[in-house]
Amino acid sequence: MKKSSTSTRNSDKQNDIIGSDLYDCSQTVSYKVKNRIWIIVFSVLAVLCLGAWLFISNISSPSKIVEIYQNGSLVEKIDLNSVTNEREITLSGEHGTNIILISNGHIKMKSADCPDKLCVKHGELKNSYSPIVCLPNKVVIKFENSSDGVDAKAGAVR
Amino acid sequence: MKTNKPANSTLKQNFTAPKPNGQIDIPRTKKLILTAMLTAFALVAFVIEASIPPLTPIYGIKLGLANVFTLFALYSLGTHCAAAVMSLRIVLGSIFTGQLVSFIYSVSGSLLSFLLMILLKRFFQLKQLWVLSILSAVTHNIGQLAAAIFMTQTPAIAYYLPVLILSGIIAGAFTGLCAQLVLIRLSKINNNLD
Ligand SMILES: [Zn+2]
Repeated sequence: MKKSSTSTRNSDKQNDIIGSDLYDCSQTVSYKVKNRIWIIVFSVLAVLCLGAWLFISNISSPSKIVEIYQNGSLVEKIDLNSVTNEREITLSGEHGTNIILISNGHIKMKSADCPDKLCVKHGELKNSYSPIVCLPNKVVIKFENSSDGVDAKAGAVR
Repeated sequence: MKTNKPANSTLKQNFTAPKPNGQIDIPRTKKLILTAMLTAFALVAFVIEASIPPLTPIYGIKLGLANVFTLFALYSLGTHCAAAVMSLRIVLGSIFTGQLVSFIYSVSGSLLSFLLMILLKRFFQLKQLWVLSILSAVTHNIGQLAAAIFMTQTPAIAYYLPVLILSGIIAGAFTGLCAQLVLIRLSKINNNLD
């Protein structure tokens, strides 16, 4: 029904359809204008985010006290500067096992049995803004929050 | 001015192609089959993407190819079918890839982004699909991040917000443009067949 009526309309009143409000030229123009505005909005947002990310990831932590969390609770607290011998910490929980390597001033996830291995690929813990996170095993390694700067900044980011 | 848009004018009463406002007259059986097919495609895209090792050591950064099919369903078949495509893809995808732990992150991100999609869809017509796609990708990442913060009880993960927004913009633009260009091409093909 609809189709036949369309074809007759197509042939008989072509000008009407071309000029119909659905495909009005003024609307086509406004698409382009809107698209341009959105492109600018997203570009600005992208540049801001990139800047924020570069800024965040280049800060090095003043404190060397590291906290290891499992299932949201603190498991170990280590001052990396006081570590003399390289050692491993094995965390086994209900979700899986993670092996953490600690040496003087450095900490990293040595191995994990999580499916994605993103925590291992993260490498060394650099600053408090990019903690080592193993979401499948719910393990987080991060620098201790010094009460002044970091908390305030965390609030601002959120 | 008016005569330089003849190609689009025939789009209006097309049988299978979506109108700019997303409504469509499709028989129920055809709709069901299209929904099932789109779900299968989305599932394949999801499984392939899940089997590729992640590019960056940051959670939530991925292309989200399966979202192309959700967007396609949303604009060609409507809200209900899109909801079916997405929810089936999440459940089956989690089972197929065996990542049941990431199920919660996936669900929370997807629910939030889908709510945003159906709420804002009326403001974005076919030629602005990419905008809606970016917005939903960004919301998806924010929802996932919120779920991760809640699950690990670690607010410090919020520092990933800028990079997740950035990746949402890039991935959303890509998937949105894919769906948008395919929908526009398909409507032109259908026109020529008529
Ligand atoms: Zn891991």
